[in-house]
Parts: sequence; C-alpha cells; structure tokens
Amino acid sequence: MALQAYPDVPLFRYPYTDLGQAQITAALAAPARVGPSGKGALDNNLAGKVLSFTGDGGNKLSWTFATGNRVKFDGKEAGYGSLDLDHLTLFAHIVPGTTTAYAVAWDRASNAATVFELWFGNGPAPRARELNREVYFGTMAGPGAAKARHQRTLRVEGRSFLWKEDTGHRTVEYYPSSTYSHWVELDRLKDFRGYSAPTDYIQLTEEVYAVARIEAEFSGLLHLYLTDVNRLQQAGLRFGFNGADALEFYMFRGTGEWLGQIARFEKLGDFSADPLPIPDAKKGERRIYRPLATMDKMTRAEVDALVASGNVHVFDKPSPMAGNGTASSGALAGKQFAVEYDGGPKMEYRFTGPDTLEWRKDGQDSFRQARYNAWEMMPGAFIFGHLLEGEPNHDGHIVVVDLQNGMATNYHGFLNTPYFANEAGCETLFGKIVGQGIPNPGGKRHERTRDMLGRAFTWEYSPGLNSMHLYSTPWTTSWIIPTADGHFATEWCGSGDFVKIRDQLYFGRWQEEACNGTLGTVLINMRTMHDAGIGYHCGKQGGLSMSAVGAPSRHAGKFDVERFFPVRKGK
Amino acid sequence: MTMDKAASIASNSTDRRSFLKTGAIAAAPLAIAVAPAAALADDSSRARLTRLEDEKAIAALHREVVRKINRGERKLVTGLTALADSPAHELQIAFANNGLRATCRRACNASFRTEFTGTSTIEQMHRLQGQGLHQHEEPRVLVAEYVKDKQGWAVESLHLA
Repeated sequence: MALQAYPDVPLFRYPYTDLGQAQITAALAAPARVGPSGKGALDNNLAGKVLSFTGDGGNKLSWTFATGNRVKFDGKEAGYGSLDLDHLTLFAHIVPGTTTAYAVAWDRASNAATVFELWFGNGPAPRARELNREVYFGTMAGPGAAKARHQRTLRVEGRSFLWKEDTGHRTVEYYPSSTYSHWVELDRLKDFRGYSAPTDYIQLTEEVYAVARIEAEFSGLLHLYLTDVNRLQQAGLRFGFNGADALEFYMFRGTGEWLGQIARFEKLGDFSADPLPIPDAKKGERRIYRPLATMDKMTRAEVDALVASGNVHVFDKPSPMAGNGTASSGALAGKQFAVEYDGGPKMEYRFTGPDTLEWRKDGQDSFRQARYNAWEMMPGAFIFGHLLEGEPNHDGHIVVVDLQNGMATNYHGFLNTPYFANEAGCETLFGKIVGQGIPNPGGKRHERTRDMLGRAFTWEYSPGLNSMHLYSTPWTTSWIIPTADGHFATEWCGSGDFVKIRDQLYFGRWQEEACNGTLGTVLINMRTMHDAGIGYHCGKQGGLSMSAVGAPSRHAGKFDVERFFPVRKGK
Repeated sequence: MTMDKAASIASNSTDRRSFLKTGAIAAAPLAIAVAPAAALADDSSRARLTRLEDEKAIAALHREVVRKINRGERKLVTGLTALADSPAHELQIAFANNGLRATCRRACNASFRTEFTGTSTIEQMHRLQGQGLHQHEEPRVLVAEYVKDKQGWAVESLHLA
C-alpha cells in the first residue's frame, strides 16, 4: 500500500511504518531549529523572557527566549512557536539533537504552568513513532507566582465540540471519558469514522482546559490544544508523524461549536480526575488499550480446524454480558416462516422448540438443525440468532423479526475477512417475513436510522461489568468502560450500524475490528430501557460462539451531530 | 424462569393460606417454655410441641446450612462467598400440611466475588483498568426446602431468590 498521510482505509487497517529512532532524530533536526509552523501567524511574543518552571515534584526547567522565535533550553538553542489564548500562552519547541520536545501552557496572570514533556522512543509506548508524554504541574517563577495550580479534571467529561482549525480541518471531538477521547475528522479522513485515543484533560482556569490526545495504536501523533470552552476558541499544537511518515509540527488556532453534554456518572461532589493511576508508574506510562496486540489472530485453516474440533458454543453457558439480561423467549417455538432478504438469501425456519430450530437456505435439499435463543423485546418483535453450520465462512445470522408487520433485519456475521480469519465481518440484510398469519409488508422494509446518532447509553451487563455506548457517527459505535466510582475511562470503537425496528425499538451493532473480532448486536428498547442482543465471536480459547448480551440502560444524552454526516445508500 | 418463579413453584406444597398461618407461628419466638415430656401432653399440645421441636430443629439445620455455605462446603451460586442473615428479618418457616416438609425463607446479605477472566473485550478492558475482580453484596433470600424422615430434618434443596 502506498503511504498516505491520512489513509483512505480505516486507521486500524493502515500499516503505519515502524519508524526507527535514528529516522525520527533525523526528521526532527530541521524543525528543531526552525520551530513549529502555522497556517496563521504565530504570536511568538516571548522574546526577552526567562521562564523558570518549578514542578510540584521540585523539578526545574528554564527557557530563555530571544528575538526571532529563538529559545534556549538546556543549553541548546531551538526555534519555538507560541500562541496566546487570552491570558494563557501555549509555547512549544523541540530540543535540538534529541527526540524530546516540550509544550507548555503558561497562565501569565497566575504563573501557574503545565509542562508536557514529549519524547519519541525508549518507551513506554511500544513503537518509537508513538509520542510519549509526561505532564508536570507547577509554576513559573516571577511576581505573583500563584498558589493556584493547573490540575487534571473531569470537568470536560461528557462534552462534545466541533473544532474548526485555521488549517481548515474540522473535527468533531467527543469527551465521553476522563482518560480517553473520541474524534471524527471531517476533512482529512474520508470515511467519517470515529476513533478513540488516550487523552489528558487539564483544567487551567474555570473556562480554559488543555486537551492532549496521543493517537496511540494509529499514527502516534499528538493533538494538543488549549480550549476556551466559554469563548469557543482553541490554540493548539500538532506534533508527530502522519501516515506518510512526514513530521507534522505546527500550531493552530480554531473556533468551536458546542455540540452538547451527556451525563456524567461520578458521585455528585466527586471531582477527582485521575481515575486510572498506575502504582509505581514509569515516566509517561498510562493504561492504554492496545487491542490489536491482545487479539487472537487466526488463519483460515486454524478457524476451520477449531470449528471441526467442536469448539463451538451457542448459548450454552452464562454470558457475563447478560448477567442482567432478560429471560430468553420460547414464544417462537412451533412457528414456521421464511425470511426473504432483498438480494438473498431466503431463509426458511421451523422453530422446533424454545431453543432449537431448523433452517434451510435458498431451498437447499434439507433442513439443518441449529440451536438458537430468542428475546421478545416488544410484543411480536423478536431478536434471535443461530449459526449456519456447514457454511464455509461459519456464518451467523442475528435476526430481528417483527411478526406484526412482516419485516426482518439480519446482521449477517461471517468469518474469513481479508484481515484476520477469526475476525467477524458483517453485512446488514433487510427482508420480509413470509408465513401464515404474518402481514406482507410489500416493498416496505426496516430502515437505517439516525435516531441513535449522537446518543449515549450505559449498559449494566453484570455486577462490576459495565460500559457506555456512544453512537458517534452513523457508522461508528464506541464503547467506554467506567471505573468502579463512575468515571468513564478506557474507550474503543468499531464499525456500527443502526436500524429502526419500531418507534423506540432500535437494532444496533458494533464490530470489534482489529480488536478481539467480535460482532456485537443489541436490540434496544427505549421504552423499557433494556436491550437484548447477541455476540458472535471466534477465538482460540472460546472457540466459535454465540452468546447473549443484555443489560438495563440509562440514556446518558444525545449530541447534536447529525448535520456533519452525509447520507449514504446501500448495504 | 426467574428465581422468584422457581421459589414460588418450589413451595407449591404449601398453599398461601397455610403459609401465612404457619409463617406467623414460625415467626414467634422459639424459646417457649414447654413441658419436658411431650408424652404428658394431650393431642393438641402434643402437636404444638412437635411443631415447636420441628421449628427448633429446622432453625438449627438452617444455621448449619449457612455455616457450610460460608465455609465453602456447600456450593449454592457461582461466585457466592458469604451469606449473612439479615438482622432485620426472622427465619420464616412454612410447613406442609402433613408436617413432613417445610419451606424456609431467610432474608440475608449475599456476598459475591467475580473474576473477569474471560477473553471478551469488555472483560479485557475492565482488567486493563484494574477491575478484573469485583466484589459486591446483594440482599437476597435463602430459600430452603427441608424434609423430615425417621432421622429427622434434612435439606432437600436450596436456592437464593
């Protein structure tokens, strides 16, 4: 694949170059001398100042600024860039001859300061191209050095903004977590897909925050900005290597648009903001979810052998994702009908029991038996799932049938994707149900919906096992894991789809691509605020499985984002 | 079937009226002075004495059951680590009409420990956050079916409702 600065494939599919330390050092040399660029003019107004920082841990750093954007740091002269945001200044530079850089947020009124030490290589990030950061809070020496300190914060948690930079790039930024963020690039990336990455949130004043995201698992770039959430302005730094391995080292200004606020779930009065500390952490160490590293990666032959060995489990054991699920329904037992999907296939069903059925695809000679589970989420509206034994891709059908209107939707899961054989692919099939007493919907079908777009729902699967979904784009489902005390923290995401079954009844899915490989589905009843769903997964340990998903929900809120996403047609 | 439904079915040898009646009896203090020899009593007091002796035996058996559960000698529910009788509630005993079977209900605090050792994404992410182990308490009801034979009272079934 040719290198692309901003790939036209999902970022989790893009083979980012494993840059070496020497490559990086060489790439930083000239920018270290010159300083960061900017589409608009940088302020670079620190000439004559000596800024001496003392961190809360006693560490001392000093910058001596001269004319012509020159700064002396640690005996080395570099080019710096700075931008003011009211009485706050963000300045940044690379330390010449090293792979280290600094970005500093300085409150000129209080002298409180936050220093981001940034470095490539030597960990803790697993790849040299992924920027590391250590954050120091303290003060700059000088008159009025304040008692006030910048501090980590959860005050930004739950908000979302559209930021438009002076570069022209627009990004929908979601902050549903106090340790991660989720962003959707509307211009540089073409597929309007959301991504998640570890993020620092630091409160500088009542109105101004520093947000620093490292695009871990992808390019490894830093996207750092001071954001005045009241005036909806930002001043920031982008630093790191893009998909074409070109160094981006520029500062930007931006304007924002408030897109909403979802609920936070910390106990009222809890403003603690470092929910995932690591005991005896290494410098720069964070709890970063690296799903590709931990994912089983199987070949087609391995998957086939696994299935042939009988390591197949269909609703045969309790699922931790359904500890609080509703009871499955046996109400389909005794029924017979066919589901005719537009463009195929035609699936004929005989429900021989509450958890056994017979299926026949496209008029095959004989029916095959399968185990299934079903849940009736509104009267006459069922979700059920079963494997299609014998299909070359070990398919699973997860189907919502509405027997009151004759329509059906199938999240058709399959293995043997081009990426990992055990990773679930999925297509959405719409069809009609043909059977005695079932109305013929004619050409009417369930339809994709944007009713879910921008919404967030919490899911309490089992005691101690909870998450929140954020439906951040029409094609993205993100999930965020809370801590025991209600801070939402680690976040990840995958492809999603959303279909309206009835008013307040929605069929959604997520794919854990390059991340465990699961296809997760949920039929969400917003009247009962409960879902029932089915997971389809293949892995070395658990085998090929279908398992229940089910949890009571809280509606955390809805962001106003629909206008940013184009309408697409097709599967 | 929910556990509540199961409990309801399990107690079908006792109709609601007899449950309420005998439940009321069983809720009375057990330490009632009785004649030392049941043989001296008339039929009515003999029956009452027998019932009191049964209640005492069942209460003792019930305490032993809870002890065994807490010592891990009797597995009741996956992840259950301890049961503690709720001090706000008393043991309720409902006898079958023939007096040879009893359904006991005891409100309790149940402690659970769950280790998220699975390979699901959500479990992996919980482990990443240091939340691979969850302990919690739930108010539950220990429902026991006891039967009486020549050797005395014995456990027929137990479940947590």
